[in-house]
Amino acid sequence: MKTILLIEDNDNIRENLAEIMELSHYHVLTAVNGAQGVAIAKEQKPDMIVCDIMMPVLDGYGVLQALRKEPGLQGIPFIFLTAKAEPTEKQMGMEMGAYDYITKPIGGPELLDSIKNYFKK
Amino acid sequence: MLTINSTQELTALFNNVSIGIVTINGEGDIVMCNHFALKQFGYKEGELMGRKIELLIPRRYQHKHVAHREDYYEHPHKRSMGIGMDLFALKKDGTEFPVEVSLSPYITDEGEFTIAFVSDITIRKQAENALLQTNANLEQKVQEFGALYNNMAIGIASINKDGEIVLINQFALQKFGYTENELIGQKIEILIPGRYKPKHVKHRDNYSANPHSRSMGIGIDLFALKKDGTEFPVEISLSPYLTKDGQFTVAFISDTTIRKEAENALLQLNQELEQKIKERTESLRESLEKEKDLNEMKSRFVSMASHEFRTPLSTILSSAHLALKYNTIEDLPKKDKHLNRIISSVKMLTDILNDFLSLGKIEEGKIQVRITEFDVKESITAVINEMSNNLRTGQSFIYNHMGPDMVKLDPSLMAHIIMNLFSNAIKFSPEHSPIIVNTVHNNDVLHFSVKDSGVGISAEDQEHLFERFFRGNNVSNIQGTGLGLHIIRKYAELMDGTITCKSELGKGTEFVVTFKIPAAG
Repeated sequence: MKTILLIEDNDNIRENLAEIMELSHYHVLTAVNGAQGVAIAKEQKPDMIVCDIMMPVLDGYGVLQALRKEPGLQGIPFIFLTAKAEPTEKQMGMEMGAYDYITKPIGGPELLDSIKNYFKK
Repeated sequence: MLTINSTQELTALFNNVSIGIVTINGEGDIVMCNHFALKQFGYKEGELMGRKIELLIPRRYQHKHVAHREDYYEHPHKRSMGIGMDLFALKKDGTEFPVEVSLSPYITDEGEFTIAFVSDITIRKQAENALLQTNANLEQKVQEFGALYNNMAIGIASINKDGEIVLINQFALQKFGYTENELIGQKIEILIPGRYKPKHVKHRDNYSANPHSRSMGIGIDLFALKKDGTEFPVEISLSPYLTKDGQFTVAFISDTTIRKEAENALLQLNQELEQKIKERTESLRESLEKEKDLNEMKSRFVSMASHEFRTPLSTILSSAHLALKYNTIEDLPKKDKHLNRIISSVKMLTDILNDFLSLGKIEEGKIQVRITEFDVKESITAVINEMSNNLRTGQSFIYNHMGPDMVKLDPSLMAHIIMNLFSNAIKFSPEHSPIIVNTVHNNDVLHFSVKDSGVGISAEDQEHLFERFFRGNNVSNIQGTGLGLHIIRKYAELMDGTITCKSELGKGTEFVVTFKIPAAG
C-alpha cells in the first residue's frame, strides 16, 4: 500500500480528500500546514505528497523547497493542489519540480487519476 | 639798418612796396600813385593823375566820401579810415574789392596833402568769412548738442577725478529732484544710497586709476538716491574723457524701475505658471495613482474571488463525490455529514456573494437605514447562540451587558456588524481561548466591544484595516475577502457610529463600536 501525505489547511477539503484517497486504498497521512507537513515527510518518508499552496506557517512552495534540500526526500513525487489557477502560477509550480499541478475546485477523481498515473509507471 | 638816402632809392621803394599808395591834394585830386596802386585798380600810368580820388570809390559811397574828405581837411591827422566799417574800392573795370585804408596828412610848400595807404583785404576777408561760417556752424552744433544733452531720456552726469559733479543734464536733475546749482560741485555720492557710499568711493578711486568705458556693477542691482530720500533701480555705464582741465568721467544713468517691474511681473508670471504646472502634474499623478489603485484593487478582487470561490467549491465537489459513494444504511451518517458540508459551503459562498453585493450597494449609496427600537442584549445573545456551532474546540463567548437593553439603531445592520466581528474573532484566534463580548449602554452612548486573544494586527496593517480588499500580512493564508471590516465600518457610519481597533501582534485584538443612542422612548 502506497503512503500519501496530504498537506492542506482547509479542514473540509483535507478531510474529504483523505477520505477519497483512503477509499481507493491509499494510506493517507495529513498535515494542517507546511511546517507540519515537512516534519511528517521527514519522519514517515511517504511515497507521494499532495500539497496546497496558500497555508499558514509555511506555504506549499516552501514545503517543496524544503523537501528538495533533504537528501532522502528529494525523489518523492509532489502534487500541488491549489486555488492559484493562473497559467503563470501553474508554470511556476511545475518549474519548481512538481509532478503535477491540480487547480481547485477539486472533486477527487482528477487527483486519483494523477496519483494512479504516477504509480503505473 | 637800411637808410634811405637818395631819391632813386625812395622811388624804388615807393614803386615796389606791396601796398597801394595814393596821394591827393587839398581838393581831392590824385597827385601821385605808385605801381602797386595802379595794378590794384587796373589803371595805366598817368591815367589817374589829376583825377578826383572818388574815381576809386564805388558810386554809392562817393557823395559821403566828399563830405568826409572835407571834414578830414579841417582836422587832418594820421588815422585809419572807416573804422568799424567795411570799405570798398572801385577798379577801372567796375568791379569792387574790400580794402583797408590808412591816412597820413603832410604839408609841403605846395600845400596840404594826404597820403593814403590802400591794402587789398580780399583774401583776409575771405578767411574771416570762412571763420565766421565755421563759428556759426559750431554754434549750431553746440546748440543741437545742448538740446540733445538736456532732452535725452537718459541721465547724464560728468564728474571730475575728485568725484565732483561738473555737469548734469536736465533729465538727470528731474529724475533726482535737484536743481543744477544744488548738484554742481557736489560729490557724486550724494546720488547714492547711504549703504553703498563707502564702497562707491573705493570703486571710484579704482576707476580713476584705470579709466575705461564699461557698465557699472554688472550682475548687481544698483540703486540711486533721490533728493526726497527715495530710491530707484538704475543701470549705469561709464565713459572716461580727457580735456585740458584733466580727467573726467561721464556716467549714463538709466532708470530701470519700469523694466524691473516688468521683469518682476514676468518672474511672478513664471512662478505662477510653474506652480500651475506643479499642481497639474500633482493632480495628474494623483489621477494616475487612483487609476493604479483601482487596477490593483481590481486584480486583488479577481485573485481573492478566485481563491474564495474555489475553496468552498472544492468542499462541495468532493463532498458530493463522497456522498455518492455512501449508499448503505451503515454509511448513512457519512452521507449526511457530506450533505451538511455541501450545505454549509453553499452558505459560505452565499455570504461571500452577499459581501460583494453589499459592497456594490455601499459604493452606490443604496443601503437603506431603518432605525427602530430593539433589545440589543437579546440580539447579541441570539447571534452568540447561532454561531456557537462555528466555534473551534475550546473556544467560548463570554458576554456581559450593562445599562438599558433597548437601543434605537438599524437591527439588521447591527446584526451584520455583530456577526462579522464574532466570525473574525473565531477565525483569527486559537482553540481554547475565550471571546469576550461587552455592551455598555449609558449616557445615550452604546459601546459594543469584541475582544479575542488571536493573531493580532500589526500597527502598519491597522492603518489600512478598513480599506476594501485589505488583508493583514499575517493572515494572507487564512481565507477571507478583505471586505468584512470595510462593510461593517460603512454600516456603523451609516448609523452615525465609529469603529476602532486596539491590537498587538500575537496577543489579540479588540474592536469597539460606539453609537450615540437617542434616549429610548
